Amino acid sequence: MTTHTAEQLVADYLARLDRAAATLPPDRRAELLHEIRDHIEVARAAGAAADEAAVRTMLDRLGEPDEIVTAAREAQAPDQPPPAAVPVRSGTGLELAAALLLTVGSFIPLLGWATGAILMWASRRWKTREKLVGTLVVPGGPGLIVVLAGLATMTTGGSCDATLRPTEDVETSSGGSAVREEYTTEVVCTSTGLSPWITVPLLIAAFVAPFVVAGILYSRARARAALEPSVTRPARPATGTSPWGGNEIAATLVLALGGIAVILFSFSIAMGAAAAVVGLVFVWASRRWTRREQKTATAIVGIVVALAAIAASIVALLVIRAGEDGSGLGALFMMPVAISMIAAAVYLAVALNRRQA
Amino acid sequence: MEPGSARNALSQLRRGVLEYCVLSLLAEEELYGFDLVRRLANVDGMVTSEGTIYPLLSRLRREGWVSTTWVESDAGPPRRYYAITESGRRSLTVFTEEWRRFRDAVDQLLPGEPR
Repeated sequence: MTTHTAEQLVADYLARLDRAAATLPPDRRAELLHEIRDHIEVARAAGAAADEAAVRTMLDRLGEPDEIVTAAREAQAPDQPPPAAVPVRSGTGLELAAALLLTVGSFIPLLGWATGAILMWASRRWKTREKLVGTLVVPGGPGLIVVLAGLATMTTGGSCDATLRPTEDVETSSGGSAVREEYTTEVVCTSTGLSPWITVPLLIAAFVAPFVVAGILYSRARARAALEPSVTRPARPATGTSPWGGNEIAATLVLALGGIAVILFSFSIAMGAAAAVVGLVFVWASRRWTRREQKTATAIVGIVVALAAIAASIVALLVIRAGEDGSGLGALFMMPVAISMIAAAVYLAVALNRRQA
Repeated sequence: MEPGSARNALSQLRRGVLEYCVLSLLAEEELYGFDLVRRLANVDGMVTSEGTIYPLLSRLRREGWVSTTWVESDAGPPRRYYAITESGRRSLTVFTEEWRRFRDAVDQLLPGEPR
């Protein structure tokens, strides 16, 4: 009978605590109930609450549910920051993302450089003048320069003559009954445009300049960040701030857009790989994703890449052995990789959005 | 001012200082939540309600001043084992210095036992 009453008292108390805690955010509420329940169980296991009187004492010592819930509510938003909070400067993730996307990211056609430019203009650490320089040197980034250089070698603004000439026949059949005549088309191009002595250094300069500019801009951003007044806040992101920082935006954008672009624009393997690598770099640079989430995202992309590579190689070998054209294999390989990149981006975004404020 | 507000001021003071007392206990050794709560409660005049210590511990965890591990126990559910972190130790050091100065200042100003 005594145990029954004791159980009743405890159940009653926990019910009151549950009701009082209804105003707390669900995870805090669950945590608090869990801890108080554990406390009671440990106390009883230690024999400290053997009979009804002891249970009442224990519950008294625990305190009124309202009092506990008030303390829990205050624990969420302290009246003033603890005096010894570690001063933290907001990081340069956004600026780093912009600098990387404007340079390395420009190898992802259109989207890479464009994303970098958007992030650059969104930053508050660069003056408008600096942002203009970053945009104009060079629009499209080194990636575009590489494409232009490729085009330039094909058409240098000169003229090309095509002539048909009989080749010397190399072999005549022994009986002399058939003489093969072969013709080859000879194409002679003369370039009348700018001499290579000008175009090549120009292209090299245009390729290198964005890296130099991005480097200078980023170091300025860091210097400015160091001079900003430190914001006193606890070591973890404070309650109520959005979990989306520069690194997080860059990571999900690069992975998602890279994957979509691969599907829509039939990327080359190199560009898809660049997008995946850049995206994963940002994932690991972030402090808002747990190690587990970072590893999961990397595994999603990595495992699919490995499997697709193996599958594509096997298929390629078989195809080549059968003497057929293996040129469609790039798409076969890249499609699952693209899907995995999009999946990783979605997974990471959902993980961040599920964080309780 | 009413006498009630003096009690208020003290309970606010107690709330502000309690977390450093918790850190101080953990700085000496790692403790189970239950034991930590009992020790604090045993110091006269410190805690009125044991249950209010748990939200405090949650906050210390969120701020990164305290880390916890779950330890299996043969008699019942796994229990939280609390330990102080490096940043917790740093905050404790800073607080202790400031508290001593503050406490000495208040003792000097208040009437009563001469030092």
